[in-house]
Amino acid sequence: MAELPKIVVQRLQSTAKAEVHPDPDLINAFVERSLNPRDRDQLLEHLTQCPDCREIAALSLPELDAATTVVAVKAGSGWLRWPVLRWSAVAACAVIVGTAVTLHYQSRGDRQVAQLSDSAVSSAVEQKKEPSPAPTSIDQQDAASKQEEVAGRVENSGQRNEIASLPAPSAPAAQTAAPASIMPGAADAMQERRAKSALKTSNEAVVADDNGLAVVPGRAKDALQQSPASPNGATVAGGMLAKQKVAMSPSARVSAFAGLVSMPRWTLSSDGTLQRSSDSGRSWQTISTPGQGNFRALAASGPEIWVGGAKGALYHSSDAGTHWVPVQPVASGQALTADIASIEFTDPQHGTLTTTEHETWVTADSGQTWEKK
Amino acid sequence: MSNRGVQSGMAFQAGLEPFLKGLYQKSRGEEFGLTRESFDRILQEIAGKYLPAGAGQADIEQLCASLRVEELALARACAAGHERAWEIFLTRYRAKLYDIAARIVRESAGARELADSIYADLYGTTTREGQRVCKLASYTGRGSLEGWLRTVIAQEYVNRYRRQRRLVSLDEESEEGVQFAAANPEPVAPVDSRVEAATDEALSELSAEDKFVLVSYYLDSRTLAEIARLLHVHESTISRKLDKLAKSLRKRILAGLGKRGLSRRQAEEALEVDVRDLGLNIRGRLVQETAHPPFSKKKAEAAGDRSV
Repeated sequence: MAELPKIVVQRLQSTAKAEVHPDPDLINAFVERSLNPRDRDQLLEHLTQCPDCREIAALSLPELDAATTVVAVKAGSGWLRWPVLRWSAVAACAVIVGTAVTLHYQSRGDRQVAQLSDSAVSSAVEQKKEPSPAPTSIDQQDAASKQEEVAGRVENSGQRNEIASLPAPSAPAAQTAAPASIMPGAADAMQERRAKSALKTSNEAVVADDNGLAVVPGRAKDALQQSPASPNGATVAGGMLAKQKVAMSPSARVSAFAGLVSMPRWTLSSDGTLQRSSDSGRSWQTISTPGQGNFRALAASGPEIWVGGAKGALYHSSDAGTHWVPVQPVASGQALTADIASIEFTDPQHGTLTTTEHETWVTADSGQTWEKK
Repeated sequence: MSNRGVQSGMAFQAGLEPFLKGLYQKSRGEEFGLTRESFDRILQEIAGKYLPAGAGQADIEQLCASLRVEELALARACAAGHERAWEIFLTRYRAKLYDIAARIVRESAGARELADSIYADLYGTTTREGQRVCKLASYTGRGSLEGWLRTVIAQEYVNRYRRQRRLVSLDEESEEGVQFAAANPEPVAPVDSRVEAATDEALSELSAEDKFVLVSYYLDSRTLAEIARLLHVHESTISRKLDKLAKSLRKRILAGLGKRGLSRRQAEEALEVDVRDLGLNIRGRLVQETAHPPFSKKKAEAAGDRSV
């Protein structure tokens, strides 16, 4: 960072001190971002002159972003909670048993598991679609079921931990993926969890929940972008990672999650320009957008980016910011003209806009039609 | 924040009637015995406080629509002594009051004392001219009630801290025998008036937000993350902004010195000489008391009539 000439610091200090001070309502409204631009500028002008009011404003910040807290709680981030401990214990047992089984097979000269290649994995995908009898014990598993086990399944289920269901299902194994000794899958699921955990800690604005990755509204409104297809052709859907049983080799999964960690992040600068970071927020590039910029709201989920600003300015990009389409929400013949204050999309189709005039606009078809509430 | 202190209220035009009716319904003030007339008077008072005298209907509508009317009705009903409103307020905010105080004070006994004191102010244990003075009557709904409580507690904490610091400092001076010692003024650094003028000019061209970032970082020593949270941007934005501001200020000051007849080399030397000679004790200057105790006026206005 460039050094500021000390004379500047001195002159800032010698600025005339304010004699009259804003009331708590205004300071609170500033902290909660509910002041109009004119009042905000006036308050900022006062704050530059008043260290006490700056201190009050800083102390008035909520301890944590409320949105982050809510979603984090929803995601069950408490590592010491009983369900987490219980399932962690089960997962640890699964890993131990898996290691023992692997050693057992190695001692018998059965190298099939270790020799499974990516092609074997893809064949396992096909095999999973066909019913096969469920093995009754670990020793009775055949090579095909082992392949299936290695292929495992990606089940980012948060606290559900279906991977730890050790008893073999009586239904055909292929219907519900890995039966019996699913230890490789369990280990992989743990890796995935760690990757998700790393994501959560590296960026407060991104948390993992039952639906995979969720963008926390508010704050910098950073978001993860969808990763490219994995080496095996399995695609990790940004924001929709979970609930999809995708057959991937362990290495492919690890690389996929490594890709997730380095996904682009999005933010709006203080002057309302859209910015993207490809290095976890260390540096940011301004992304050119149509219109005048000055955006106030951003929603990003995978390649789907929405930005909104003054007088109903709304733009959508479905290719991670390369091309933009202006969107004019209209409901009952009335167009959206108010300043857009926030945008939230739970999935690529369903989204909600709120305006500074407390209007709520909802779409269920990627912005094709809107309903005003 | 214009026209602060105007408490007479602003007359509403008849065209606002449907809008005001909707707001009243939204506020659910009726449940707390708040009549429509009382509600309108509250809105008029708030509009008079925050809007300039000649504000149009659209401005009034915009301001009123931005208010948290439900929380406003609750707070004003509490101030009026409505029992059910108090029950709701206590259920929602009593525990939070202590949590907020604990977070700010970081010491349990002090936090409890602070929270109790604020609670007494909110309840209105003091009287002025025979009237119970309830701090909740000053809530205007421009932000959330919880956020307002946070700010009120923070304000009281800063006031107390400043008062306490002044007392401690006098006691310490007395013990050390320096209270009546001859003044030892700081040696005045020979700052070129042209450098000051050029710097002031460069600073005056900055936006309020830019200046806020500078003072928060360089005077208050706040972290990038803290400043970013206050301005609702990413901390990398603040980092870039600071870097850009430092560079551009230097450039502008040099240009300003050039306009005042200094050559480029002289201008750079003036800046450098100034830096060496000043030997600024920034931390020491920061803890100096301001000439005007900021909240003294507010403390005098126990009813909470605070305005810029």
